[in-house]
Amino acid sequence: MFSSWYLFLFRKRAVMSFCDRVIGAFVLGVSQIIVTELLLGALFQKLFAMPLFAANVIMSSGVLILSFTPYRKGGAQSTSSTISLALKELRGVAADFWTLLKNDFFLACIFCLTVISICWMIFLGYLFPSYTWDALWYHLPIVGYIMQDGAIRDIANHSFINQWINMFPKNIELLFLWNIIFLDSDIIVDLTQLTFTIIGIVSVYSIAMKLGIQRNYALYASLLFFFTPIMVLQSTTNYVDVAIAVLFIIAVNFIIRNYRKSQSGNRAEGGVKEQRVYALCLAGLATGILLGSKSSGPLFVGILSLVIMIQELTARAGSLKAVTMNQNSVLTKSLKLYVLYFLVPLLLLGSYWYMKNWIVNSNPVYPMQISVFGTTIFKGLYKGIVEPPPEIINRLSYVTRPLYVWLENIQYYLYDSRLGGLGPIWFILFLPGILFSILYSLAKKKYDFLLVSAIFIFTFLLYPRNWTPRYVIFIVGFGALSFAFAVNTFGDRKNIIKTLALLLAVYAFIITNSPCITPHQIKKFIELPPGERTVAMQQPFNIDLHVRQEYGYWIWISNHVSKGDTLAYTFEPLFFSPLWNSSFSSRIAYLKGKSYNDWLDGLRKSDASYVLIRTNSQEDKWIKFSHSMSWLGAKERFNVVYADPNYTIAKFERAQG
Amino acid sequence: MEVRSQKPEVGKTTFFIIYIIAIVIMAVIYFSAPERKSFFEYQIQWWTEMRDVVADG
Repeated sequence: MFSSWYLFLFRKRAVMSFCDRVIGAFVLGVSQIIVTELLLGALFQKLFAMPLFAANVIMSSGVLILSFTPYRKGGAQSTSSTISLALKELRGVAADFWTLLKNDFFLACIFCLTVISICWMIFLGYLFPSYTWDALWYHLPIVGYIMQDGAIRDIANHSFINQWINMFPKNIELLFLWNIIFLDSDIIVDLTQLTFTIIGIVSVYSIAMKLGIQRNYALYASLLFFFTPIMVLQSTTNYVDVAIAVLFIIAVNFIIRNYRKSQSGNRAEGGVKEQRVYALCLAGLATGILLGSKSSGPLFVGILSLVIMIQELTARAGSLKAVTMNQNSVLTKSLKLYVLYFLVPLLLLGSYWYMKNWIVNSNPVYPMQISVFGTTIFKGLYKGIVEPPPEIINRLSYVTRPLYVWLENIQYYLYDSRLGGLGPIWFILFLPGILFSILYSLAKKKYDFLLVSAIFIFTFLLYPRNWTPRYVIFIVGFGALSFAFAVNTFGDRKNIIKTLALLLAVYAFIITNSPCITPHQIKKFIELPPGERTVAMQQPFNIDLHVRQEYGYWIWISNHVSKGDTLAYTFEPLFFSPLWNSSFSSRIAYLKGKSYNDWLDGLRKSDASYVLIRTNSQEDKWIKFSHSMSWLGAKERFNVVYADPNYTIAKFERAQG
Repeated sequence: MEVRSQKPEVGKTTFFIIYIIAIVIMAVIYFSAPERKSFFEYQIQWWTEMRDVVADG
């Protein structure tokens, strides 16, 4: 469906590299998904499989037609010739890539390890359900609420997490929804971030090429970036950190100019401008997706906007030195380019969630309070990140916190490790690479590399809690670029570094295991029928202690609650996600009545099929009471279908007529 | 002229040696971190379990 975007960008091959077109097609495809879901969910409130499919087919068909429409005099090409040219280019790229691997044993080994890792991740993602804390707590419940309502709207605020669910930007959750709604299953939803990881590899490669680094070292950098343990582990979870990091790297890739090409100096000014316009648009879309994915998005927007304005102002001021030019005119032209091609796409993709919060709560990031120098700009309930940092972090300074975490004083990796996760390659190869590359580029006045360094380093320094590895995965991308930049300058002495890179890649490959997925669990899940591969059967290490008592009713729900059934629950569970069935085609409703009749009325109105109650709760007593009243001809009946010492599920049966 | 053309090469060689030394130092620091032993123990346990599972078929 989204190959139409690649064909669309294929028309721009004179001004866009192959990698930029691949990354661009990915950004445009993701944007298409988000825009269609926002339109159907927020505007028309008809976010169901058929309308979504139809909207995307129409949009992709439009793009496909546009791709084959002649856009310049004499530029008309037949459909078949465009496709054959695109295929020919693909064959050429594959052949070049193969030659590159054939001539570099170390690179070929690292590439093989990457492919094996990705295959293993796909296998694990397919085999295991979503088991991670935040996925069960709010990422997947967001999807569940949207799917049951067919609409993107705020939910009733009856639990701590619900206020966050209402406030969070949800672009990545819309992608999770895309991976569930058509399959009627959550089987591949935990692989959503893997697509970002793969595009992240391409993006690092693309930036390296633009910085003038040799192709094989650009490839080393991008593949070594992949072996970041927290990225590998998170790629099979429903978190958003990998997506955030990769979207930022994508935006940087499009914002920096293609120095390699512009150095040749034989391109027309029109081509340069066209290239800049497309690059800014795609950077704007990527930043917009990022803005609408996490509340830290505005920070990235601010930094990238500043970079673009500086680039435009310096480029215009430089190129028009000879011509007398009004300073205001330079500023206006730069602003126009920035607003039209970067800010508009950015706001289109990312502003909805903040606008909604602003309108509903008079604060774009509610319930967070925003204060600047002690002055409250937006009132909220919380002044900072709610989760307290680990004790050791409180005892360290701003500078030593990341250093301590990068040393990885941990016993094992987790998808959300807080005291480690960037891996050995980052610490051993990339950190010295950063130092060397910055010093070298300062000495040699390599401003292109210094600009990239400044973007990544300032973003890292300004990021709240930048010691948390999963928040700053993007800095490993910069480390990879620095490493390639360093190796690129060493001339013919690289075998020792290549050997070290391969050894560390093998080491990272071996040690990126998590206690959440053990070999015994893998064996157990291979033997289980697909329908029984649930989180309750997995009993993952990260949540097991907290939810052992819940497994029983989770299994019952996944086995018995069907499409269209409504499960009414009467207490605040730790995780909402397991209250839906695995395809999120059932509904959930919180029903707490003041009296028995009031509760019954609520059950009738919400069309409840089942009620989930705590043993010895008020509702439990009401159900027992209704049993004793049934012989008196009570209209409603509760048939207990599941019971354990803590929970009961009863089928709610209403009298006909 | 010859001396001048060799100068960048000498500089690169020096940088290269410093870089390798830095990598070695970082590797020593990284692998001697206090928790590294328990990290290795966990990995050995994970892979032993994997071997047993594969051996059991």
